[in-house]
Amino acid sequence: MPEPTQQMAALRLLLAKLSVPLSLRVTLGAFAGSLILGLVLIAMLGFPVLSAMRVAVEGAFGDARAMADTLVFMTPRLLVALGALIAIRGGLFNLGGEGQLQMGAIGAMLPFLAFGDIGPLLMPLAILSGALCGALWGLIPAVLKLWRGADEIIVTLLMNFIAIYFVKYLVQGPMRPVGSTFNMSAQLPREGIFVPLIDGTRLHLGVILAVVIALAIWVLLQHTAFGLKLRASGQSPGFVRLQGQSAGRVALSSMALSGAIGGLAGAFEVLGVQYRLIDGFSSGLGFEGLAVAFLAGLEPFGAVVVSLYFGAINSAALALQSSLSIPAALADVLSGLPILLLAVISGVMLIKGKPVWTSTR
Amino acid sequence: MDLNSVTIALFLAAGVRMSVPVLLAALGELVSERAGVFTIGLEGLMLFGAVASAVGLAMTGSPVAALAIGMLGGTLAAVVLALGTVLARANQIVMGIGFNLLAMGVTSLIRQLVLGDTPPAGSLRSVTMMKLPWLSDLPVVGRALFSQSPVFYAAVLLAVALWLMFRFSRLGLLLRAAGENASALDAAGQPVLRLRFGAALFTGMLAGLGGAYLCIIASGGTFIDDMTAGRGYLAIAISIFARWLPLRTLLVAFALGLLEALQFQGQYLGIQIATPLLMATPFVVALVAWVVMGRVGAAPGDLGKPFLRGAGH
Amino acid sequence: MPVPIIQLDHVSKRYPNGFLALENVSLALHTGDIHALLGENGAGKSTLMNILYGVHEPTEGGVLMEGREVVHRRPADAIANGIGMVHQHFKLVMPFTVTENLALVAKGAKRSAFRRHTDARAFMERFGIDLDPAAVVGQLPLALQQRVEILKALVNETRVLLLDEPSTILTPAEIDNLYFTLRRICDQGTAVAVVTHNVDEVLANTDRYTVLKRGRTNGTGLIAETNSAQLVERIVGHAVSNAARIGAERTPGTECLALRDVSLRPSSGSPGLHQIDLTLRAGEVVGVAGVEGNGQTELFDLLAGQRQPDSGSLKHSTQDISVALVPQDRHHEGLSLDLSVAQNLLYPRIMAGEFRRGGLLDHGAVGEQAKVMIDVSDIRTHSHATPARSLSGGNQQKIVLARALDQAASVVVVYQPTRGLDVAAAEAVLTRLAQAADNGTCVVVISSNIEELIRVSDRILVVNGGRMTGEVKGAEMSVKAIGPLMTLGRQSHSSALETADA
Repeated sequence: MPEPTQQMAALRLLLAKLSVPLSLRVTLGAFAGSLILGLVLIAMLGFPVLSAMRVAVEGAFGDARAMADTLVFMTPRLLVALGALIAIRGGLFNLGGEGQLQMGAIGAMLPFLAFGDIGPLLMPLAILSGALCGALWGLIPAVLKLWRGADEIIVTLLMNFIAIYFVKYLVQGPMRPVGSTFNMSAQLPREGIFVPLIDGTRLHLGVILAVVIALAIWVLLQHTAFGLKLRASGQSPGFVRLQGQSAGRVALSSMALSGAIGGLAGAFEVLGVQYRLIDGFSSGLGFEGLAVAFLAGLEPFGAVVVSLYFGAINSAALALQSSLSIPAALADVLSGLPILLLAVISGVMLIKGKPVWTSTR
Repeated sequence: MDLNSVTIALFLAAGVRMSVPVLLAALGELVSERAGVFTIGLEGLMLFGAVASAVGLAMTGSPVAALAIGMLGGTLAAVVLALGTVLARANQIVMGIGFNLLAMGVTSLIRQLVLGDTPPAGSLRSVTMMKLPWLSDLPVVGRALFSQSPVFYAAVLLAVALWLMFRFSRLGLLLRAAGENASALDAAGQPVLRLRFGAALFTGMLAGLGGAYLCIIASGGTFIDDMTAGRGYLAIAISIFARWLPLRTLLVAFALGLLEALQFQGQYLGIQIATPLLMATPFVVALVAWVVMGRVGAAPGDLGKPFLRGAGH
Repeated sequence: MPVPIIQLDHVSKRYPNGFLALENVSLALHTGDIHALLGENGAGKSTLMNILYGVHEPTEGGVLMEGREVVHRRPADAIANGIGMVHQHFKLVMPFTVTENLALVAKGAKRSAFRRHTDARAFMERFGIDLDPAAVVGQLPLALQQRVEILKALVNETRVLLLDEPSTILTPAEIDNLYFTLRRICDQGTAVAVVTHNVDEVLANTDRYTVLKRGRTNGTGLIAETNSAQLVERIVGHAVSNAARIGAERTPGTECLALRDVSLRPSSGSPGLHQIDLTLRAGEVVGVAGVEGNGQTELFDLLAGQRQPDSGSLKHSTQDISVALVPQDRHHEGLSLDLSVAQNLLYPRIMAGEFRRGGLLDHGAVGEQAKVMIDVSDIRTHSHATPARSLSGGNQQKIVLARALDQAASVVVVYQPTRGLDVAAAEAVLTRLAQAADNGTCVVVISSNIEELIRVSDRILVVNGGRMTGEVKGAEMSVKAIGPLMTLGRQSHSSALETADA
């Protein structure tokens, strides 16, 4: 077996040469490394690297439609990341983004199913209901942790599957319109959805709301007493305990908030992209969003930038596929790589006694 | 609806077939979790095993060799994963999520660039079916349990072997200690990292075989993108639900296989339950069991914690 | 004289941060002997043990086994040379059985020696230890867990057994049992070294002693040729406090907090507390002295409201009695290191609802108030918005103290307030504590630095093994009076005090 220290010496040397704040340095390193690896991969597969770069940039940012696609791909990842970082900075490892997203998507359908087409009130109700469903789903692991000491990582992991199968059940049964053979619900009426903001693009209201929420989370963390308490609880539970504050209340509120934002991610996918509940609409967005939160150094604005990268990679991959026949699976490679690199680099920093994230386990 | 012994036997046999890949992956996960490594990347390991076996089949034409190459693929992929989670002390969850994404992309690229569209030729019978003499003639169970893929028999034997190992062998003791209290094991002068690394590779090997089973035996040698479809995560849940016990893992995986088989064969059995709800029940039961156990839950004490000398307890 | 089984030959150890932990220390352990290593906190006992066990390498000098030089780069090297170690914090796998824990340690030919419970039982019998080999270690009482820890250290043909403070967590009867076992181990051909601060225990049970003081040897020899007074003096020394007292005489005011017959159960690494009676009054400085790990942490936790007594009562005399804290662990409990200096200083007031504007935090107002406190407490920081992490230890401590005093609490409990601080910073901290008491606050100072306690306290309580072994006040407060209370067992306190008075 190889000696661990030797492989790390090279990484260490590389890191020592840069003098940027630690989490930013780690993230930049992870992105730079994976983009380079991506280009090498494209070259190795025998595709023209320069035109691939041009197509990729145009495919992600070249015109209104490309930009809109990038932003639409960004939105659910950003929201899940915001939800995850709230919980993690409060000291709970919320692995349940996927489940909260699924429940939020169900929530977004509920007002329509309950009241039918009730006009302009439908959309705000759907947003609210999506957030609420996500929040309730997020509260369960926090309650179980406080009440029974059940590890939240395992609880949230298991609950993801319950939510996924619950969506499957709904679209195969109760939510499927009579006579339909497809595993999806009925389509929402036009008043109930986010209509495209610019004709010919997929840009929807959820994109704007997601960025506003990022701003709100930043204000919450940096400019409120609750945010101060939340950050202190995650970073130094001993300090908060000695200040006579209850860790439990912070856990409950941060998980409810985290779940609500995760729920919005699902709700916005329903309202802005699918217009209905469909089995398998997420394909692991919840997990990806969690990784985005870590890549962003658990900072809200960082999450905007990182999820924008993920959105761009996904829409660039579509362009590469259609104009150069480069498989769109490249998007997964270029999403996975920075996460891997980030995890490894931060692990090495942990060995060196300089953890990148202080609020995680 | 006619509920005869043949229908039941077919149903049981289908359940067994569906359970095999998940069982193998869950047994692998159990070993690394017992040693303290939470392998969220199990899904990706299975995908690598599946695509490796498809490549192996295309190259060699031998389904047996394909399975072996699938195991090798899983193991090599696990080397990458374990370099991060075990040696570099990467956050095991973040690393696993990234690994799964990467695996999805890389295996799809391999499919499109290496495998092409030619469907595999040749008979797969040597690995899909092996009737055990005498036993396969028994009513019901003969068809259900003893006319299965040799991989299934291997998986059952493996579960028993793991049970014996954890219960009676020194290696089992050391692995368990690496997961319960790595710093105590280190203080005893034992190689924590080597044990964890080895466990992680073993996980890769079994997950690789599970993926290879999916590809070679369950879908006739054709690799399909994301063909694991969450089975890796399912296997993680099974290992937790089975409290890291190999024989219980065997039973739980089999029970889940039956639930999955019900999805396709329920109508012949005259059972009308929405299958997604059925499929969700194991997770609900796992969750309830986990919560009821609460703080005294028998999870390995150092599960998911990177080993740092001097971090102590 | 036979060749010692293991020797430290003129060993010095300087840590990377420049601290000289051991200076020219020699030590010889002989087979069949129990050797006591005595000394105060920071005397170098742990460093010495760690060098023997291969955790640290000496900067100068060498380690000899049977006269031949050996190099122990890591514990595995020491283990291979037949050295076993019993840590203060047990290194046991709690869900495993006794046999399994023993089997884990076994090396080489011993690997198959603990297959069955009967093997383990036979092994234990050699040392007169009667334990159920099938028992789950986590369910055993503490004294028996320690026995397992000792057995573990003996598995691999151990010729030298090292024990780090084994007696602090034990009752007197259990201490007797421990030495009974250690004697049996010695008789099997092993050298035993025990780190302790308890002179009575050493006199009653060991053969030789070495006293360390500030990293140097301060006496070594046969137990038969020494006595209690001599040992105590060698441990605490004659150090006459040459620094002046801080603060004038005070007259204590009304009672604010009382502990009555309070006990906490012992646990691994903690002696617990036993029948503590303590009354705290307004306007006094109460010192709590003792060798570290003798109940100070437990007392702090009780006063801080972090733990409830297992028996007995803790009463605030009125409803509005509040307690402010300066914990020992500045980095994890005293501060939230990534919050700014200002946020750390004003955390309790922010949480109480101050400094709001339109529902949001008024960072400006927080900063202004923080600047005032930074000035008053002379905190050297780039700005009030700097993360607390980037300040020096002394300035971090000033933040914690400034916050505690800013809360206008009736009782302020400070734990090791000057540890790691330079002289000027330490002086500033002590002065502020004295001023607080002058202004009517009850100040409790828990510290292992006796000189500093004498300078600042109105009275000093001494804890030893989780028990209160005495109280000295006013002019009686001296190293000579306090040293024996910290280092002797209960039975000889009265006589030691008489010696001190004489």
